[in-house]
Amino acid sequence: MTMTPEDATRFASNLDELVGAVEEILLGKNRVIRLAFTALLSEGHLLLEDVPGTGKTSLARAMAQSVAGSSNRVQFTPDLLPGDITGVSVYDQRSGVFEFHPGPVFANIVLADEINRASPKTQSALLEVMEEGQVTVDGQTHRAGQPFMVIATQNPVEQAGTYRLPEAQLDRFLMRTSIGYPDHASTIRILEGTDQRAHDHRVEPRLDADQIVEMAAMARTVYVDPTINDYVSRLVDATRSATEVRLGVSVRGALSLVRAAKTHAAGRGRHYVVPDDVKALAEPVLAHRLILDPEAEFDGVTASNMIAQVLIETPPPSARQAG
Amino acid sequence: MSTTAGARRAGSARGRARARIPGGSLGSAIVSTVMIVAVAATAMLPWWPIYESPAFVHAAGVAIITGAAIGFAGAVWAWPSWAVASAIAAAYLVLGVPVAVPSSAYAEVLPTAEGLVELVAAVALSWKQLVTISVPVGSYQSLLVPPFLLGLIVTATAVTIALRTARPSSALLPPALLLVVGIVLGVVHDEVAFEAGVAFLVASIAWLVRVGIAERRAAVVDRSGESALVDVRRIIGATIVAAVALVGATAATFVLPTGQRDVVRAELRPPFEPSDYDSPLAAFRAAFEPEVADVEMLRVTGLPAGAGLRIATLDTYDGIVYSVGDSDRSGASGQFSRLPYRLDQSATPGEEVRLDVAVLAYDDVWVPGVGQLERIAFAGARASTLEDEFAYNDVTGTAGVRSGLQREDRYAADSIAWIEPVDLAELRPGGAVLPDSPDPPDALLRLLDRWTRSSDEPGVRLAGVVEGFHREGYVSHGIGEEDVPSRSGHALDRIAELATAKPMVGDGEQYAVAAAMLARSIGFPARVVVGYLPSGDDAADDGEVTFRSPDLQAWIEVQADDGAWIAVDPNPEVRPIPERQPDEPTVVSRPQSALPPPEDPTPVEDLAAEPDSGSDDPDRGAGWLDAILAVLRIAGIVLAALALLASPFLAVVAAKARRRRLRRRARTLEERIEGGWEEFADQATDYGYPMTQTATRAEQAAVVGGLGPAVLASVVDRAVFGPDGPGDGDDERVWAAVGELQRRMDEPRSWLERARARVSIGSLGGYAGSRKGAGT
Repeated sequence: MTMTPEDATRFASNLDELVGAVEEILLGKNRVIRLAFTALLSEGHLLLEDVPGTGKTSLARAMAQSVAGSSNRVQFTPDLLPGDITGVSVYDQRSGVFEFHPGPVFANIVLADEINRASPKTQSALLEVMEEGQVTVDGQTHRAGQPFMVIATQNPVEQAGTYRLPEAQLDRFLMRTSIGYPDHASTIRILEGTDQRAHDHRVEPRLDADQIVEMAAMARTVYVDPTINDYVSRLVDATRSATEVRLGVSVRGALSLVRAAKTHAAGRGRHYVVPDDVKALAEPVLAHRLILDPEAEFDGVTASNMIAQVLIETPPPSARQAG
Repeated sequence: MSTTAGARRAGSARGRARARIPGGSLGSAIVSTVMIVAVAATAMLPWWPIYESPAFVHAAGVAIITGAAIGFAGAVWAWPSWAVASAIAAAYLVLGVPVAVPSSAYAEVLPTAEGLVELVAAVALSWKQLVTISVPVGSYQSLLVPPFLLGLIVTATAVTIALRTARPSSALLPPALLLVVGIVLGVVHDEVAFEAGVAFLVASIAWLVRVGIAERRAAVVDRSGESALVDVRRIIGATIVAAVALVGATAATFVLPTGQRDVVRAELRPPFEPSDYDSPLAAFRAAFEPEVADVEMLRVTGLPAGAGLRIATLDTYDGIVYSVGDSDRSGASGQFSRLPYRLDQSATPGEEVRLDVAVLAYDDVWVPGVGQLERIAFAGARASTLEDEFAYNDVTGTAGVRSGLQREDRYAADSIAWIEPVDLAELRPGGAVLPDSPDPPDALLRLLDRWTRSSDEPGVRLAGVVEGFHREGYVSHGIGEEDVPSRSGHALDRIAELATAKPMVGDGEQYAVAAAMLARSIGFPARVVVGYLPSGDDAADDGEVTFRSPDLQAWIEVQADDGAWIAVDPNPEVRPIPERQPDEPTVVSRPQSALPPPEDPTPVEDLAAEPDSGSDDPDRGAGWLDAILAVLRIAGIVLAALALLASPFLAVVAAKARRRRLRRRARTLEERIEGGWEEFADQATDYGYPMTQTATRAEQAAVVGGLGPAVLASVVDRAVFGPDGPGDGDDERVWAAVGELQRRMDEPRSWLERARARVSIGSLGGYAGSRKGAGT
């Protein structure tokens, strides 16, 4: 089944409404908000590399409010245990049974703040729930929220006492981006609203959780021409053959790019993907999956530079594939 | 604040610069320009002995005045340096042909295509020609280009320096350069050298005084009394200096001997100067003296059957002597150059011939050979000397060594020669241009008329001439007592004598010259060849031929329309000579007759045709016709040149038109739609938009800007990447939109910008093609 043009139009309208709602809280960050919703509707997770105080929590809470869902924030610390995230089973003496007390991961949108401060063991506890949307404790499986999305953050500046996220876990994030500081005009508007506490801001729900799940399912049906798949394949191949890259983009990365491109296309009111969708998402979807050669890093090459270079060197398709 | 200060500083500097221009006003600038013109004119004086022609005065005057005008205009309107340079180049191209290459100008006014080519080539080539030619040269070919070009550049530069720089005294440097170049390229003995030097000195001092006065005025502008005093002092000082210079120079003119100057011309020594040696035809008769009858001259192996061994090719005839090369050595046939390792003769028609030559008693400077030489290798004790001296002229195929060949010299020569027999009647004249020669004697022309009356075909007429000589000619060298008297020489009077004598008696010297003149009258480029022809007993069994002195012969070569030079032997066979017939009694018996009777009665049917050829009206008609043809020829050349110049642009336009047609008529709907976008993107590229190969259609649309391109990109993307593909008629709609967008792109631009876009090759690089390739 393929998405119809009418579905695409409705999808874009809903997404615009959601983005507009969150933009009321996070001023001047339309692109990041749209990327975050693209990740949510692509059933993926988002990694934000940001310094403190740029609105990460506000973004998560506003997104949750806009879709009438729940949100939890977990501050990752070195002494945080896996059970502190997933939840624990406690013995109830009155009933004589173990009762599961769900952790903060049981919400629609989970903000894992400074995820790189937790131990690798705790970080890996997130793996199962990020990949499968469920938690298994004492042999029992508990479904996480529907929809479910982890927005993890890490501070790119302060590296002391942190545990670098393993590649396998990085690969599970659909996108990596940063909110960044607001521009001048947005900062003025933020300062004009300082008489109101940030937590007092509330976004009226625009859609409910079921509608979000339905939109995600709809985004899967966006048509992808074989030339687009070919283009993605060539991009991925290019990352693998670049001399500056030690480890290129995985197959999971290519799948993620196509999945995100579908949502991006639907968000633009199209029921088919064009090369522009791929190019728009290549950097946030692919860059964090690259491992650069140390010498190239020493020379100042970054993963984002590499993706930009690959996009320049790889011509997009302009015609339908012959045959 | 700093910007204001900077601007102030810049203004101050400009003010100082202006103050250094004598006077600073327009009138003062005109006076300065006139003075620079005078300095440049005096710097031109050393050039006079090279030319000694009014054409030189004309060229120098035009160059100086035009250069001054350009420099003046550049100063008045503050032209940038590139504009001044462009004006000089334009002036050179526009005025150059009528002024510096007048022989190539139509009606001595209008430049011709050939003249322009010659003018441009002369920028590089005329200098060498100028120092390797006998002086004075007058307005010969493009030799006026050096003073014209230098005068133009020097005067424009000097006026620019005088009016626009802070050091106007430096304006003397360019004219000084002109003076020095004139001296260096000039003649060894120059009677006007002192006068020229003094004139330049006086003019230079006058300019320096003017500059000094102007600078002083600028410095003491507020003290007019002091300024005037300084002016008077400077003028008096300059007058004294000029007077001393004049007196000294005048005295030196009388006191000093007019010595020989070291100039470039004196240092240049051509590798081989043909005019330094006697024409081989001049000593033709000496080869038949009885005492040298058995002297073996050369032993040759590899000579093709029926071919002769050429000593030299003679193409220049002054009415007295037929010689090698043009008399002033400026002609191509007179220029001998050292032979590189090998000459490329791939374009020369003929067959490969390899000659091995051993020199016996032959001791001339000419190196015998056949055809057009490809390479030569000397052997023997003098090999390196001969290789060093060897010079060759590829136009005539003549070679020479300064010290001459000697016994025991040997060489091997590879050549291309035409050895196939040719039917003369089938020949058509070639296009080679030979040095001018005097008109044939009337008697010879009468022979031509008599022998070739039956046909107008050049080949048939040439065959008739050769047959006529063979039929009516007899050979006698006039040396032995038993020989029929036969005067040597080949001056015009001797040729006339040959034509009128009955019987016709001469030898190769006269027959070859007479035949060459008649062949040229028919229209064939013809030249005389002196060489050895093998006689029956010369050839040995192994193909070796030994030439004896009496084997010397002269024949002619005519050029066919395929460029090949065909050897033609007009010499009659040696046979008994009948007794000399008495002269025509016409003069004695009928003195009242103004014209001699015709040698043959004219047929009645020919008489009817004669009035047509002899009447005046057709001449006048032919004159008009010639003029019209000349105009048409020039127009044709101009049109051809324009077409040649425009052809690259037309090719680009045609390629784009074809590309558009192919896109519009592509096989599938998708391809037609994609082609529509590419057509739009290509036009944007031609207008200079940075359309990159890795940009998507939406990105390209963003580069152009506006809603229209974005919508078009979206429509095309939907047709290409959408699940349903394009619908019927989408291609027409896309192409209509493309046309509309292209019109919108054209509208705000000037016709020049549109024309540049049409002929731009920016979009022909195939970015669209390579993108399409990326998709497959």
